[in-house]
Amino acid sequence: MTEADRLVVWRKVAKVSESLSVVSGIAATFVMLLTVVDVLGRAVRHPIVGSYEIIALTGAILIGFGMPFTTTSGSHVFMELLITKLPRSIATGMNVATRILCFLLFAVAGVNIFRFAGELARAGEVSPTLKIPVYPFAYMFGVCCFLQCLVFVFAVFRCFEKEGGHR
Amino acid sequence: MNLDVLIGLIGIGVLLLLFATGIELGFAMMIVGAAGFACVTNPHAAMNILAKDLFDTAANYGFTVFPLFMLMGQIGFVAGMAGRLYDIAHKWLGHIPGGLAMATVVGATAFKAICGSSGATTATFTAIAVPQMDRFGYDKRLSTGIVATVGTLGVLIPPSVVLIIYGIITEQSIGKLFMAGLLPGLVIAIFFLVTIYGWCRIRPEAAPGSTPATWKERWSALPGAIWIAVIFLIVIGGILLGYFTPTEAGGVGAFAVLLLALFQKDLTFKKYVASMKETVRTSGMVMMLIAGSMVLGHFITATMIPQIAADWIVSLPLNRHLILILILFIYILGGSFVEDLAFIILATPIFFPAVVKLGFDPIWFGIALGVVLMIGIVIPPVAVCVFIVSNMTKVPIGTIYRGVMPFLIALVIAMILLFIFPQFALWLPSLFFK
Repeated sequence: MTEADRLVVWRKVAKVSESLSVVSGIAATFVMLLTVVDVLGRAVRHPIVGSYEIIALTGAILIGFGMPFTTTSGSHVFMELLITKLPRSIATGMNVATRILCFLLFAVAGVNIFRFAGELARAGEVSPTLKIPVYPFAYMFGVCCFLQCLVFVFAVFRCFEKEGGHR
Repeated sequence: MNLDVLIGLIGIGVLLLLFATGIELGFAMMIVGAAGFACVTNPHAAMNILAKDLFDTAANYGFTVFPLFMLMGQIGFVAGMAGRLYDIAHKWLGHIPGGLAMATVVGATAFKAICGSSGATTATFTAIAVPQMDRFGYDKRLSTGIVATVGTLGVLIPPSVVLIIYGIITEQSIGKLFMAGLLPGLVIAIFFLVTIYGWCRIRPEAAPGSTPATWKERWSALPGAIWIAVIFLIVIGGILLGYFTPTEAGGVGAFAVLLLALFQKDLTFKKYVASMKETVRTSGMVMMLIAGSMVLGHFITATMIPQIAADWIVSLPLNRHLILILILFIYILGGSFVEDLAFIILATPIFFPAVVKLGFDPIWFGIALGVVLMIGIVIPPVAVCVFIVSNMTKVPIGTIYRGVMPFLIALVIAMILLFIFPQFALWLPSLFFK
């Protein structure tokens, strides 16, 4: 794969992540509107029943689908003090190693969140008021972790680019 | 030494080494936290903790406060509310020597009432205020120094993301923290104004007055600021009166700013989408830091390091204020190498029990940490706000640092005041929270 091909693939990954972030954006807008309706409803003694748990579960959608976009847009906090001063080959090696570490982290997290979701399903875990099953949200979050893994796979290839690196 | 403590110390060492590799800090905390927890307990428990902490951080009602307050600030940002506020302050203050720099402080303080992001405020005011100050021949050190510094006001002026994070980590009331930060935040803004005044008295050529606005222009500009003040009062007042939870306050505030922006015809769908993307991006970053600190926190707690550190720190044969100064100095030092906010998330679970054991008020400590963070944001080597200004204005970083120094003195004075008069931070919360 040439450098140009890698860049095209990375741009596609970034585009997909950005598209997923639209789901997050809709979730954020939903949370905002639900909160306002709940507060107004409370003023006239008709609050939305179970609003807290709806907001909490929507939070999983908001953060889960936003995770890959935060990574592809290079928004995470990292220490660049040392890495920018190292010779390019060593910096590239370090970037590859950290991308692989992050891939492993989210792969392990994804697998274990799936297990956790399975336990929630078996235990019949539901939200306290509306009795919404929690496990679908956990499965969804696990899927988001795997999407995050995919981002790191492509980030490894980006590390070899002449300019830029993975960020 | 206890084996668990040794594992904990090795874990902290490995974490710092990992940080140096340029890995995302939140992810590094998760990796070390999970691996360390596996060593102290067992791998199965560690995997459970990793999965549960990640999911619970995302699906947490209390944590949705971040995206909502960020959304509020981002809508205000894309709708150009900062520019409107600067324009009002400019009309009232611009004609006096140093007035454009003062207008920057007043505009940024008002903007902080809806936007908690230091970077966004610095970037906005660099774009709006620096060209104005350039036009009237302001000294570059003053013009760039003040825009680099005003961004820090958001650390204390509610709704502050930093105070929300501190509240979550230490389980303190976010409403109390907001109230505690308000007075020191406003006083620091006044100190900045006094610094500009003093600078212009000593070197009048550094900041000549601009063309005065008419009284009619001044009064007619005011309603734009009044609406933002109303939103601020609803949001903060709602929390104080117990009518809103902080999450609800964030939602109501974001919606109110959205309505205001629509009413003023400053918001298009495209701008709303941009604000949403920025909200998602920043929320993801903060939430991964928090999830990382949760996993790491479980590991560090299992090693008993916080309790042992607290006992050791308390037993030091030093005055408790001196110990606290040393702790805050560690924060400044740590924040100089690791990003300041990330270091607070990392170090607070370790130092907080000691601070409480030393008899300091947790709310007061949150505000003291806030001032430390304000200092950390503008001092080398990692001075985010200075980098933003330099990047946007192409003014050398050294020039901006020289411009920041006088304002740094104002921050240090504020810190001294906090030490001498803890009520400086605690008076307002004591009025509202009995």
